[in-house]
Amino acid sequence: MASAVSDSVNKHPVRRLLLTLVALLALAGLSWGLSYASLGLAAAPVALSIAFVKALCIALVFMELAEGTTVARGALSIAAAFILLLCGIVLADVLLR
Amino acid sequence: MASKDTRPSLDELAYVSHTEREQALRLGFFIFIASEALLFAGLFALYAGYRAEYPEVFAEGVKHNIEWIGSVNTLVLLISSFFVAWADLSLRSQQTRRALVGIVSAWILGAAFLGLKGLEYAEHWSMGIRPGHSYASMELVQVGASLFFTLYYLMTGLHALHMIAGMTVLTWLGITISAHPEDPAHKTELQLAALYWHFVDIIWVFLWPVLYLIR
Repeated sequence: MASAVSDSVNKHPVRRLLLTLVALLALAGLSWGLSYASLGLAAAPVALSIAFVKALCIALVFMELAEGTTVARGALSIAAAFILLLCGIVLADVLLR
Repeated sequence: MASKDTRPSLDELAYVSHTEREQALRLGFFIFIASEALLFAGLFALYAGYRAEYPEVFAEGVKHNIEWIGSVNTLVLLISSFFVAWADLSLRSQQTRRALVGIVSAWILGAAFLGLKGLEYAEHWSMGIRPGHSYASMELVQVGASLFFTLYYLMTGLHALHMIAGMTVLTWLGITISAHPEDPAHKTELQLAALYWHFVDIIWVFLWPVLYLIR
C-alpha cells in the first residue's frame, strides 16, 4: 500500500511537490502552535528540530538532493559537518562557563 | 567481414558532455551554497552564544519582534519555494508558459516578503529600535538588547539581500526565457537559480523560530 502511494507520487512530480508544500505548511503550523505551549527548556530544541525537518524536506524534494550525485551530497555533508562542529564548540563554551 | 563500429556517435558524445557539464555546474553551485551556509552559521553561533549570556533580555527582544509578520513571511517563502520548484520542473518538461507563471509567482511572493519585512523595520524604527547609539532611546536599554537587535538587523538584513539577489536572477531568467524559449541553457540556469532560492528559504526556516518563536 505504502509502496503504491510512493510509486504514484514518483510518477507525478507535481503531486510530490504539492505534498511537500502541504507537509511544510503543516510543520510551520506545528512550530507556531508549539511556540505557545509551555515547553520550558525544551522550547528551543523542539523549535529547531522542526526547522531541521522542514529544511530536510526542502533539500531532499525541492533541491532534489535525494536524486543528487554522491559528490554533490558529499560537498553539502562536509558543510553540514563544519556547521555541527561550530554549533558543538559554541554549546561546549556555554555549558563549560 | 567489416566489424560493427562501437564508437559513440556525435550525439551520444554531446549528451555525455552536457550531462557532465550540468553535474559540474551543480557541484560548483553546491560548494557556493555550502560557503554561504557557513557564513550564516557563524551568525547563528554568535546569536546562540549571546543568547546564553543574556537569556532574559534576548527573550524580551524576541517579544518586541512582530510575530505575525515573521509567520506570514514564513508561509510566503515556503509557497514561493514550491513555485520555483514547479517552474524548474515545468521548464524541464518543455512547458515554458507554466515555468514563466511559476517564476512570476515566486517573484511576487518574494516582493511581498520584502514588503512585510520593510513594514517590520519601519515599526521598529518608530519604536526607537535603531542601530548604534539610537538603541538608547528604546525601552530595553540593557547591553543584551542592543546585541539582540544588532544581530536581528544583521541576520534579517543579510537574508533580505540574498532575497533581492534571488529576485534579480528570477527577473533576468523571466525576461530571457520569454525572449528565447527554445534555448536549452535556460534549464540549467533555472535549476541553479532554484537551488539558490531554496537555500535562502532554508535560512529563513531557521531565522523564524530563533527571532520570533523561542521566547
